[in-house]
Amino acid sequence: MARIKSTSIVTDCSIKSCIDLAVRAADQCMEKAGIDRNEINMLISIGNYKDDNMAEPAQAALIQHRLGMNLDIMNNTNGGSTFSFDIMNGACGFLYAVRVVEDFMKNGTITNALIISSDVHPSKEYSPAFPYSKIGAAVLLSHSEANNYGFREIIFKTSSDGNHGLRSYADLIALGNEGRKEVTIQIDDDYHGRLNDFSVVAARDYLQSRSIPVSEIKTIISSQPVSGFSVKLSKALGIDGSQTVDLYDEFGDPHSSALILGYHIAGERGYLRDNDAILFIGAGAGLTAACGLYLV
Amino acid sequence: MYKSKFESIGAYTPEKIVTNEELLTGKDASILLALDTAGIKKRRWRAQSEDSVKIAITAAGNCLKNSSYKASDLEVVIYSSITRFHGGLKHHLEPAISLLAKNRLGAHSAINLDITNACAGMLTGAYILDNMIRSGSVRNGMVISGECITPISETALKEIKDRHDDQLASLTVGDAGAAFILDRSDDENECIEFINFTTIAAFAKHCIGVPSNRNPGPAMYTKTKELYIESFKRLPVFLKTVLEKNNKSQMDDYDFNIYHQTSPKVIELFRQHLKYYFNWEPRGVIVNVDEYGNTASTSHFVALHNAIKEKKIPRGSRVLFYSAASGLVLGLLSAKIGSLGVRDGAN
Repeated sequence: MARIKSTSIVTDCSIKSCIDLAVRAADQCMEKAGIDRNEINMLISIGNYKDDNMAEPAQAALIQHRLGMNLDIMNNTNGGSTFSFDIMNGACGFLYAVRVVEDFMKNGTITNALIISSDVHPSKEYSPAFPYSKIGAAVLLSHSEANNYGFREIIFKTSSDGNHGLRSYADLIALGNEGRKEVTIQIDDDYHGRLNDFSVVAARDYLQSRSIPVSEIKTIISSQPVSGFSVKLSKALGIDGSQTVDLYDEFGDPHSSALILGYHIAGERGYLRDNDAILFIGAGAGLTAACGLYLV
Repeated sequence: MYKSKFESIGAYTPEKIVTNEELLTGKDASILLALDTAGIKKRRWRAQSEDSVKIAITAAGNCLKNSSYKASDLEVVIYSSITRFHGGLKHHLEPAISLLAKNRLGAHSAINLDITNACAGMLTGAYILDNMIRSGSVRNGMVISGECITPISETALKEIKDRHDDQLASLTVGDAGAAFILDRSDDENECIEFINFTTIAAFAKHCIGVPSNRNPGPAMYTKTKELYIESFKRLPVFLKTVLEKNNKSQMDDYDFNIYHQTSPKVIELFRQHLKYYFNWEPRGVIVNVDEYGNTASTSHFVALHNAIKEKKIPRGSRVLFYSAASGLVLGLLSAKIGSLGVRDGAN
């Protein structure tokens, strides 16, 4: 089982680059867990919106470079090795990353994985048309033999009607010499409403098909694409809303960082007690919904 | 614990062929000489209507033609390209391209994952999928990639000064798509034996792919020589460690060795380097970069596809794949190849 060892968030607006945000978040996360950085076997970056619309190398490799983590195999006295790559599944990226990490841990391939999220406008400056907040987040997952906590099965639901709700791209021809500085994000008017309904169906199916009573869920931690998204999800699912972490009004839409941020804030508010069952619900373009139960 | 195997493979390369002479008309003669010396003769070039998504989906369709699975059987679809062009030169970010592919193919029950890891993308996809199959959480899945990468050549042609320019490597690339299906193996003679990866992040900035700030379109800036030197130094060290860890493996056991297809010259230098380092003659070194260019994340699998199509790789062959990609990513995949066949008619 993959268990969350520590989380961190960085909301410092003076930081411009998504790499800088990610590095700060990763440093804090590892310090909090008291882990040596060279013990991280896998580093996954899940941000979609990168500095300068960079396509190569993996952002995770650039983050690993800045973290000074297992930089080289030559003259490496600690014997450690880190493998870095990016996952680009938008708002659901965290649960896709956990899904991947779980199997590597089950097979004994890795012990510690660091998942880092940060999205910025490619210009690294504020842009009113960019809907996502500049937040860096990191979570350290460690393998545990115990079966009574950690992540349970994660499922993904996607729509097949071609009505994606949100599309984003950098049109490199139209942008001329400014290809590093702009991105287009088109959001349908009915996107957030449809996404909420879609996520409710996914979460309800998840709980029912696994015979998990709604009353066992202490709280949900979900994507935050619009104000009240989590509250609406909780109500529709019939989950006690007293501990719902609805963060849009305070943080805006943290996109790939939303689930890590939600877990971090829930912890700060004292909502995470041993053996509590938390339901993570990712929701984003596609439409895509991801659900996974986590036992604290 | 289960093992996985290569169940099928497919590829797609555009019809149009561009030679060095055609590419470099009117350019500094030293550039043509540099490409000729490297052994690259030609590359495939996308049609106007082709982009990363189309190229990837065509390759995936070809893979299904060579498979016993239908799209609806697939449990995982992983998109793994560097380039993400969709609808012209639009660098596509959301929704995931694996979602577009899964819907187009009809793989409706598949988990769709987008990953990016430079030229190590498809092999990283294999690493992820192999771990999913070994843990028992899925029985099969497909890794796809569509590299619409000649746009970096177009940018380089506008901006390159001479053969020392950091965009020289951008002229060595070719467009291609590839796809493979892994599924659970019950046969020790047909399986993936091991996959190992590491990222040598000390050299993370040696190859950067980013839009040009002087012309419309994508560009790639590479410290080519340094990257080769540093990866040459480390890949044998990594290989030795990995073989020791997987203690049954001897280098002599490999019938075929497939390196990342950067250039015939580099592949030959690397072959000699391995020979010197291990006192061992690598057999079955497969080269197709002279004809197809460096097709980025698809290069190993375009090479494997073509070799299988030409019936060069008999059943039971042991194949070692070597990854050396921007990051700097080093990876090794050891497989016993079974009854892979190619009936897709791809070029």
